[in-house]
Amino acid sequence: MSMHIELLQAEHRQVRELLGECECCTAEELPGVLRRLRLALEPLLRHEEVLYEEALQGCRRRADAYGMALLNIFRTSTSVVLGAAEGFLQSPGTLFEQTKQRLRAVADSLRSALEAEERVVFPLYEKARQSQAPNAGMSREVVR
Amino acid sequence: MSAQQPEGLVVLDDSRRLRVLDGAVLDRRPDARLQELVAQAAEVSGFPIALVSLVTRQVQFFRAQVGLPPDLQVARATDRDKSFCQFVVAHNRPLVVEDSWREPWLPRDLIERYGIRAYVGFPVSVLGQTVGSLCVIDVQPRRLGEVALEQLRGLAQAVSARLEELARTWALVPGAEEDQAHQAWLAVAEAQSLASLGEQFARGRLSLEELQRALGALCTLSGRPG
Repeated sequence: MSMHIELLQAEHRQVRELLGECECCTAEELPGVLRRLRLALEPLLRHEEVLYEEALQGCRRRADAYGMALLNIFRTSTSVVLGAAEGFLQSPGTLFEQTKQRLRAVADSLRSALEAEERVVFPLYEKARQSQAPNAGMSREVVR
Repeated sequence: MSAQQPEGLVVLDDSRRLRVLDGAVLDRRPDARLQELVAQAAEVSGFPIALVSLVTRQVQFFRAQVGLPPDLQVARATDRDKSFCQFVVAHNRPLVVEDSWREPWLPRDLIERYGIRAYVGFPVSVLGQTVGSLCVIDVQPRRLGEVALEQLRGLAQAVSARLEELARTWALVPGAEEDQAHQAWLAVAEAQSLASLGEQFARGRLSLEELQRALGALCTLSGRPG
């Protein structure tokens, strides 16, 4: 398991924990949890871009058309889903009960996107790392 | 009741209309009453597919459905501008299409992608706004008799009544901040179709072909080529 994936998995875990907190926090706690969630999504989006790019390069090296098709699909979908969630976290509204209810869609979307990425994109990324092994030092590092 | 021309769609983006699409109205959790009504619509029409379709900013969202292919059961949406239901909502009147191949003004995407030939849709309203359609669909050309059409009209009224009940569980609060929150949330609700498709593909419940077909029907949302 590469360092990159471990870092991303840790970020996925953090997002999932914060989503869990959103679902059970009080009205007083909610603004703080939403802020932390928004802060957690910002680096995640950047790091995923690095992951997708490296996985795509790996697919190109292997002439893996199926992998490239998947990466193009998931790169776009993840970007739309995370972008929409980030937009909501910037404008969550002022009413506790309504925000909590709307958060259900946000949480469901994010959990789905994270799971799909772990199942589909991480293995492609891992393949890319393996195929690149002799030149591993030349790959871009995820900047935290 | 007859085929209509694609004009006057600007009403679809009316902020008062979109504002109603919130809370329990636009929810992915199944509603037993709406599910019962679409099953009845399929039964009285004899059409294999029946939907409660809510027309939002970018998509038509299937609030309840029977008979959809697996990819659309997961996505629960297609682009709004590919839908037939947009015309029912925009004109607030029923649309009857006996054979889509003979109606060149209709959007072609869903006809070509899913083989839709016959369509009958009745408007459904919430809080005075036309938000969607109760529709039945077949992949064969079909004509419904007056009795079936009247039954569908009655079912559409029952759908409106149920959506109205759901809407009343949610307070519509005026104000710029709440409008902004609603718009931001609507983007999440629409994007949920992409997330669901990705997840179900990742779990092996959709093939790549099914995933690509559904994403093609959502290309306005996903930014992918149709």
